[in-house]
Amino acid sequence: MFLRPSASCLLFSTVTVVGLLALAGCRSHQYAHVLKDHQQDMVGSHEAGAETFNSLVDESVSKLLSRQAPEGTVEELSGEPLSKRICFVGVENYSSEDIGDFKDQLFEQIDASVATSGQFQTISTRYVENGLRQLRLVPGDLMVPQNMRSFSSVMEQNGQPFDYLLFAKLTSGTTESNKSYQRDYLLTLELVDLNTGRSDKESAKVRKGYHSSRVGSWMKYSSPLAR
Amino acid sequence: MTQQLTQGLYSLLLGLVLLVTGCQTHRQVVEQAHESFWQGDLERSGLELAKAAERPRNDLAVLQLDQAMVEFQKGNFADSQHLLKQVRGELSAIPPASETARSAVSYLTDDTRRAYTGEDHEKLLLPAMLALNSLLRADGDAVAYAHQLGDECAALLDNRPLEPIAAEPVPTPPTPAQPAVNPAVTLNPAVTVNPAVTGPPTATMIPAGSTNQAEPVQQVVLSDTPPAMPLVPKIDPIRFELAFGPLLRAVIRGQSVLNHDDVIRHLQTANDWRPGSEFLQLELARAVAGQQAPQGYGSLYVIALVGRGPRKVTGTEEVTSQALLVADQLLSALGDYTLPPTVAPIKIARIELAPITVESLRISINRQEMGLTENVGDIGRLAVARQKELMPQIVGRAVARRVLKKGIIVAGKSASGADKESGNDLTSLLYTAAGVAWEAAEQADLRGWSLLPGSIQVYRVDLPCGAHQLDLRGELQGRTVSSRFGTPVQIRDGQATFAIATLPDQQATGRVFATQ
Repeated sequence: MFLRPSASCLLFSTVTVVGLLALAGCRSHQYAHVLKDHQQDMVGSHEAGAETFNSLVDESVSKLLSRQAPEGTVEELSGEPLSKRICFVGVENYSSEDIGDFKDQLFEQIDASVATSGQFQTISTRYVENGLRQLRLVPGDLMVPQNMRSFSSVMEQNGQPFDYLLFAKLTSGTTESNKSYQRDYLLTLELVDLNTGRSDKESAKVRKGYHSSRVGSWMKYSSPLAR
Repeated sequence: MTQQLTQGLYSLLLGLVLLVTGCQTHRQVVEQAHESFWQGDLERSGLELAKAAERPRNDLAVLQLDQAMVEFQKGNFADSQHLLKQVRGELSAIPPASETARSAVSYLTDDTRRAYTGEDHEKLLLPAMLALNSLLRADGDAVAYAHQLGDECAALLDNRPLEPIAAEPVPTPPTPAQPAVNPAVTLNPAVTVNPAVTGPPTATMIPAGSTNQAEPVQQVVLSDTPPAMPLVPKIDPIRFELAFGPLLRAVIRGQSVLNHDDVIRHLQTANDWRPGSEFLQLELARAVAGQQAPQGYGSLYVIALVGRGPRKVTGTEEVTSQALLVADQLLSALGDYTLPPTVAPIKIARIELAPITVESLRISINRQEMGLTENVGDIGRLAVARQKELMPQIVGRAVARRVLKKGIIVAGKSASGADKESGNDLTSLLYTAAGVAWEAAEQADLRGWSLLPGSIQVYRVDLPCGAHQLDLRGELQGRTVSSRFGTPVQIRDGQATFAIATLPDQQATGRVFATQ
């Protein structure tokens, strides 16, 4: 009725296999390893990950710093170059992806890269946050001159004067082609001079292709048909 | 050979009877624990759950989840968090191979033998409860749990077996009864209270012309025809009830002013998923405008876990062609079986909504009434909508199991010669009886996180810095249905204070805990 004549042996073998499988590992162990410096980052299959963000930060920060070479101002007493004070007010995510826990890491990576350059001195995030909260401002409000002046004044009162405001903005652009799509990620760093109001921008871009299969990837980029 | 088979069959029958009896007793203890919880007897509920957890029936995870809710209600946040994390670890430790093995065994018994991996709504509530515990403990992990909640929302939406309902225009019934909307209440010029609505809008209750309408639809009135009904976008029931996910993320991330863009993004998502929500619309408008609590004020967020969550009951389900297709695919993987053209209704675990005994909480600050909490996620409706999507898989598995069992009985008869005309009638009868008993012993998988709240509700108010008394009471259709309960709250300049309130039932004692 339900079983074809040749199936009885198969049935009992199925039952045996089922029993053995049930006895086999009902508990799993998760494994992890620490990546060595030479080992490549894992590539996010659906969204940007370390492979994208690390490159974006490295490139954009180094470009910006190379353009902002010291102007020869030196400290009166020590004679050492005077580093400019930067107030980094955060990373804005305008991409089509929810970057989750990467956002805070992007902030810290940029902040640390700028701070270790020696060209700039960064202000602690906690001071920045408190200053904004005191004035009930959000980072976007700082581009209004009155808000900028108030913020600068509050930071000065708190013993944290600064010369520049630094904004970071992540954007993306998506190109679809049947089931595959390419997404370009752009990280833009914008440095605004508090005294002159002049801004300087630097960007870094990473392009990623997403495919539903390896074949799709090969067809797009490696096959003879690929343009 | 025949005698041995007969003895084996007797043993099988006896075993089945014992198995069913044992499960019944265990189930009774668990149900009693749930009843104690709803009646507000947390001590007893905790003891009964602990007793059941001593000898679990493949349901340790759900017992621990229920224990976590009891501990949360008692204010033992560290214990609650520990239990929740333990279950999270257990669920993620079930490897695909073991899941396959246990699934395979379940084809010979029932779905209760499957490794419990958690229903989708439970997987969402796990990080949500962890985040609430973390806020109250101030252990600094709330943001991490908020991220995990986002991941779970994304995972659920990515793994939907059916295409989500498209936002196609559908007619709505004329002049739906609208919930009364309270006007904004003002304590003083600086304190604005969000208007609260008495209940969540439903897909059919969203008023035409309200802000949730995607685009204006021109109505054409023809003579001799009734007036055209206004058209509104059809709402995805899963996303509608999931709005609490992005909202909680926004609220938790919003503790830092530097995450302002995150807050807007999450609130936008919540609004897209749950159009028509007064609370969400106001929060989004406030965030977009960069509006914060005025100078000398802070925000108080009340997050309320209200009512009874869904529960599982045994039900029967007609076998649809979709389910037969799923069963056919499963059987093809197991061996050389063919499906019968029709199958009698199948016993399954159906998710049932609990009766609504508390609708919302009325908030008072310093004895002054402020408004009602607003529903931003109905857990029961979410669970029902999700089960509806997964029903073909659930029924398909049950059909495959039934076919496999019948196949084994037929094969046994064939091996013992009982299917031949010359065969032993008694043996044949025993085989048939064993087959019937085997199928009858099947139990619907009623395992589940049973002490979940019915809904997650929210309320926000900006208050002057300093100490205030927060009081709440349950309401149902405008009537007070619970005694007043409250806690002192400390408001800090420009910062958010969270109060997590729970009122599972009219009979239960409401509790509220505030961050320090």
